[in-house]
Amino acid sequence: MTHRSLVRATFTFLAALAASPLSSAQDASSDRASVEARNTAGRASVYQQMDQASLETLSTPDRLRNIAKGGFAPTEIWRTLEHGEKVECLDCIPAISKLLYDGDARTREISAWWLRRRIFGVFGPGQVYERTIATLDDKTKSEKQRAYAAEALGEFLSSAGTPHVARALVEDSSPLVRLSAVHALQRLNNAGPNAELSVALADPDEKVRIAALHASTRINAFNDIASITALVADSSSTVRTRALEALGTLKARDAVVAIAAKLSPANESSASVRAAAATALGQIGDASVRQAVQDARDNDPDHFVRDAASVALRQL
Amino acid sequence: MNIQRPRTSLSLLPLLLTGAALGTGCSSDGTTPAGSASNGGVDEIVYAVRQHTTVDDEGNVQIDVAGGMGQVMDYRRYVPGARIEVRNLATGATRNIIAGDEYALADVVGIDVSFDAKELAFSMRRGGDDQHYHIYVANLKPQNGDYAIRQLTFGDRDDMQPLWLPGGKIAFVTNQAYTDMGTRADEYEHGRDVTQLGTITRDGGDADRKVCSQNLSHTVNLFSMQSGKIGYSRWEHLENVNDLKVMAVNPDCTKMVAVATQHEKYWNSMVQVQETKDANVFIGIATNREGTIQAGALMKIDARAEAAADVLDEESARYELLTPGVPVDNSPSPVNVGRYRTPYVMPDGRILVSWAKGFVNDLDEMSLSPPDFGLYIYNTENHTNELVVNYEDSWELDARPVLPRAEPPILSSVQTSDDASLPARLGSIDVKTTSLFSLHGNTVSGAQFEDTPLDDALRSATRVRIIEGFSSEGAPGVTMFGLTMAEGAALIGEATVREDGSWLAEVPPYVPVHLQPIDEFDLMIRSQTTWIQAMPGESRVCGGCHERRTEAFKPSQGTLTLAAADPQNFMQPVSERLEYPWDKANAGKESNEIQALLTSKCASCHNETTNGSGPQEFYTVTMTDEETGTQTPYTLPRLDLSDRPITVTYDRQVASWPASYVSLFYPATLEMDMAMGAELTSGTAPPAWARPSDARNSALIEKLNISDWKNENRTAWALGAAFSDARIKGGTRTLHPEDVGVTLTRDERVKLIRAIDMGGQYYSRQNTSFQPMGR
Repeated sequence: MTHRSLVRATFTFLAALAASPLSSAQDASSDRASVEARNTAGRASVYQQMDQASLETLSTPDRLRNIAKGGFAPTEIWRTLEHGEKVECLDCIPAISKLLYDGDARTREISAWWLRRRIFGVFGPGQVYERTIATLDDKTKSEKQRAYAAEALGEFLSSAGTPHVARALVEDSSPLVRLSAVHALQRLNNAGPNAELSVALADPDEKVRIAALHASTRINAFNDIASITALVADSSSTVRTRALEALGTLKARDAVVAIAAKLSPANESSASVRAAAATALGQIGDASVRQAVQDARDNDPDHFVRDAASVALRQL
Repeated sequence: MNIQRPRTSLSLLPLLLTGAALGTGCSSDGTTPAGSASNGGVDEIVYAVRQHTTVDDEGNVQIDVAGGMGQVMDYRRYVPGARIEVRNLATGATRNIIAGDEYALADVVGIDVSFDAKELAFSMRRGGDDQHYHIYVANLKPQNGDYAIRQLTFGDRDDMQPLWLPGGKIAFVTNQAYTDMGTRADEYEHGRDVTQLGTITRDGGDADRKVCSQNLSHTVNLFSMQSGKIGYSRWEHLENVNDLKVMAVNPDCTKMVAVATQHEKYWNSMVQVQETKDANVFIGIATNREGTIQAGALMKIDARAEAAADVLDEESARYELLTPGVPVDNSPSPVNVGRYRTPYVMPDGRILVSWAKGFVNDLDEMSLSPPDFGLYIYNTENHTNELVVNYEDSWELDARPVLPRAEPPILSSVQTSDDASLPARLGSIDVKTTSLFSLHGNTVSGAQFEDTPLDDALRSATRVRIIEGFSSEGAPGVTMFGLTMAEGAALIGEATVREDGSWLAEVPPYVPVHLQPIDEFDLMIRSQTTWIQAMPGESRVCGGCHERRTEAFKPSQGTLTLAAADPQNFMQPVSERLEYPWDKANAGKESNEIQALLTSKCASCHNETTNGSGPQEFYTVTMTDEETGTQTPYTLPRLDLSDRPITVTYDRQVASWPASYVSLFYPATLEMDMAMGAELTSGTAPPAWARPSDARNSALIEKLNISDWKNENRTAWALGAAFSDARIKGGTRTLHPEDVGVTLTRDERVKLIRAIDMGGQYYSRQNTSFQPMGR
C-alpha cells in the first residue's frame, strides 16, 4: 500500500468516525427484544429458546446497501455480508455485485458468497452471473477484471461456470487470469470438462502450476498422477516440493521410484524437496524404499530432511 | 519481500510497572516490583513475537491483522519475521529460539512448554518453499548455541496450536483431509479448510499421527486440563447457531464433553481458555466471533459442580468478568481499555496476558493502525496491567512461564483404530430425561403440543433421528443448500426408542451428526443444536436428551438398557445414505426426490394456474437498482407445487428453483425480511408453508396433517379444528389431500416432514456430481 493510499484511508477512517455510524456500537446498544425478533423471525421456532448470544444477528438491508458505498473496514464488510445470508434484499444486489471487483480478495469472495445465495436478481438473463461470465470472456477487459470474474465464478459454485473458467485456464494469455481460473476450478470441485487442470499442471507460469498442484489434492475425483509425477523434475524447487507433497497426499504408489530419486542430495539440491520426498514415501508406505530413506535419515546434510526421513522410516 | 523488524522495545526495565490504565484510569503504583521472588518463582517466560506489517521492495506497507481466518481464530495469517523469545524477568535478557537465516521468513502460531519445562512445542511456517505450518519441538535452553529444533509433522496440510499431553504426546489442530468428504469447509469459511483435532508423539511425530472425529466447523485453542483431557474451543455452526463454545476430549479422541459456555451467556464466543490451578476453573477470552482481532475481555469460568469440585457441570457454570469495561462484543473499546488475548495463569494465580489499547476492532483496519499487543501481568485486584514487554511493531502472544508443572494423569487409550468401517455407537439410557425445561425453561409448541415442557414432550419420543451434516465442500455445483441456512444433510437412520426410553445405534465414525427425537407423528420434538461425533469403535451413550450433567443415570429396567442388547446398525457408505434431493435426483435416487412426490400428488391442483379449487394467487417482490432506478419485479405464486422453473435459467445450465421450492420456503424467508421492515409491492404473503428444521410449525404439514404411526385414527392436529394460521385456507383441519380425493400415504407425508425437519435443503449429494475423496 502506498503512503498516499494510507493517508486516504486515514481520512476515510476519520470521516467514518465523525459521521458514522459506528454500527457495531449501535448493535451493542440496540434493544434486546428487537435483536431477538430479528434473530428468530421467520426461522425455526426451536431457536427462539436458545441463548441469543449463540445466534448470529442479522444484517439489515440498509446496512447491506451501505457497505458497498465505501468507508468500511474489510472485516465490517465481511461481517455484514455473512450476517446477511438470509436477508432477501433485492435492492442490495446491484450494489453488492460491484464488490466482486473490490481490491480486497476476501471482500470479493464473500460478496460472491452472498450473491450466490440470492434466489432472484443474480442468475437471470443479463444479471450478475451472466455479466460475470461475459467479463471473463471479454479480452478487452483488464486482466485484473477477468481474473476477478474467474474467481467470482468459482465462488458462485454453479456448474454453469465450469466450462468458462476451464477455457480461460487454457486459453487466456494472462497468468493472473489462469491462476484465478485454477482457484475457481478448485472451488467448483471440478478438474474441467476436458481435464484442463492437467493442462494447468504444465502451465508455463510457476504460480499456476503450484496452484494446480494444490487443487489436485482438493478436487475429490482428480487422479492424473502422471501429470503430477512429471513435475517432480520441474525447474522450480517450489513446484517440485508441492508435487511431492501432492503425491504423498494422493498415496501415489506408482510414483515411488520417481519420488525416491529425489531423496539423494546428488540428484536434488533443494533440502525442501528432499524432505518432501521423504515425507511422501512415508505417507505412501512402500517398504521397498526403506534403505533410501534410512540413508537420508543418517546422512543428509540438512537436519529437516533427516527429521522427515526419521519420521518416514517409522511409517515404512 | 523485505521484513519489517521490531523497531522499538518498550521493555526498558525488567518488569516495567508503568501500568496501563484501565477503565477507571487507575495505575499500578504500589504493586510489587519485579523479580523472581515476586513472580511466583518464575524466572523466565517464553512467548511468540508475531509480525503484522511488511514492506515490499517498492516500499509499500502491507498490514495484516485479520487475515488468515479473519474470524476469532488467528492462524494462517502468515506474516514473516516471527521470533520465539525466552525472557529473563529479572534481567530482561532475551534469546530467540528460532534465530538464524533459515528462520528469517518464519511465522509462529501457538507455543507450549513441556511439563518438565525443558522443551517447547510450537507451530511454524518457515516461508520460502515451506508454505505450511507444522509442529516442531526445541530445547528451551541451548547447548552450544543449538536448540535442537526438530520437525515432527510434514506434508500438504497445516498443523497448528500444539499442546503437550501427558505421556510424551502432543495435540494440535490440523486442516488435513481425512474422510470421504475431504477437508471440511465451514459455510462461513467459504473455500477454506476447517481445523480438527489430532495428536502425535514427541518421538514419532507423524508416524504416530492420529486424527479425531470431525466437527463441521473449526476446533481451535487447545488447552491442558488437570483431568488429563484436552480442552478446546469449538466453532458451533449449525443453522443459525454460530458461536464458539468450550469442550474437552480425551487424548485418544473419545469422550467428548461440553465444558462451559453452552448456556446462559451474554457474549458470543469463548476462546483461548486456560485452566487455573483449581481444576475445572478456567479463564478465557469472551468476545465476538468476528471483528475483534481475536481479542476480548478476560472471563473467569467456574464449572465445578457444587457437590463435587472435580466434577464438571457445564450447565451451572458461573462466569466472572475480570476486566470490567472491556467489550465482550465487537464494539470498539475505549482507547485506554483495549482488549486481551491469550491469557495464561501464573503459578501464583496472576494472569500473564497479551493486551492492546485502542479500539481493537475493525476501526483499527480503517485507520491502518494495527493494535499493538504486548505482554502484561493483569492484576485482578486493582484492574491494572503491569507491563512485561511490548515491542512497538509486533504482537507478543502466547506467553508461558518456563517452569515445571504437574503432568496430568495419562488417560488410558481405549480407542486405537482408524478403521472407518468400524461403527461408532450413539445412544441414550433414557431419552425422556432432560434438564432443558427444569434448568432452561425449554418448551415445545405445534401439533399436539402447546408450550409443553420439554420433559413432557419427550415422553412422546418414539425414535431418534440421526442426521449427518456436511458442507458444500464435497458437492460440486452446489450454490448453496437452498433457501435455508441449514447445512447439507443425510439421514443416517432413525433409532427406535425402547420401552425403557433407551436407544442405541451403530453409525459411521468420524462424521458430524446431530439428533432429533421424534414423536408418533414423525415430527421432530427437539433438534439438537450441536454437532456430535465419535471415533471408530467408540460408544457414546448419554443419560438422556441433554440430561443433568452431574447426575448418574441407570437403566430403569435391569442392569442394561433394552437397547443395549440390540443396537440398530446404520452403517452405510456415503452413496447409500438416505437423502432427500428436492429436484433432479441422480439416477437411482429418484425414489426420494421430493419434487417427484409433489408432481405426482399435488401439482395437478397446485400449479401455475390453479391453487386447489380456485385460481392461483400471486404476490410480488421488487428489486430496485438505486443508481439506475430500474425496477425488476418478481411475481411468486401462493402455492405452486409444480417443477416449473421460477426464474429464467441462464443457458439452461444454472439450477433454477422449482416453483414448489420457492412457494414452500420463500414465505418463511420473507417473514424474516418483513420483520425488518421490508414490504411486498403487491399481493399477500402466504403462510410459512415450510419452516426449515421445524415441520411441526410448518403450515404445509398442518394442512396435510398426519396420523399416529400406531393409531391411524389419531392425527397430529385435531380434525375439524381451526388452523393455527388463519391464512391457511380450507376452513377447518382435515386430512389433505384425501379431502379432495387424492391419497397421500403416510410414508409420503413422512418424506415431506423429514425434508423439512432436516433443514429444507434443495441440494444433497444425490442431486449433484458428488464423489467421495479418491483416497
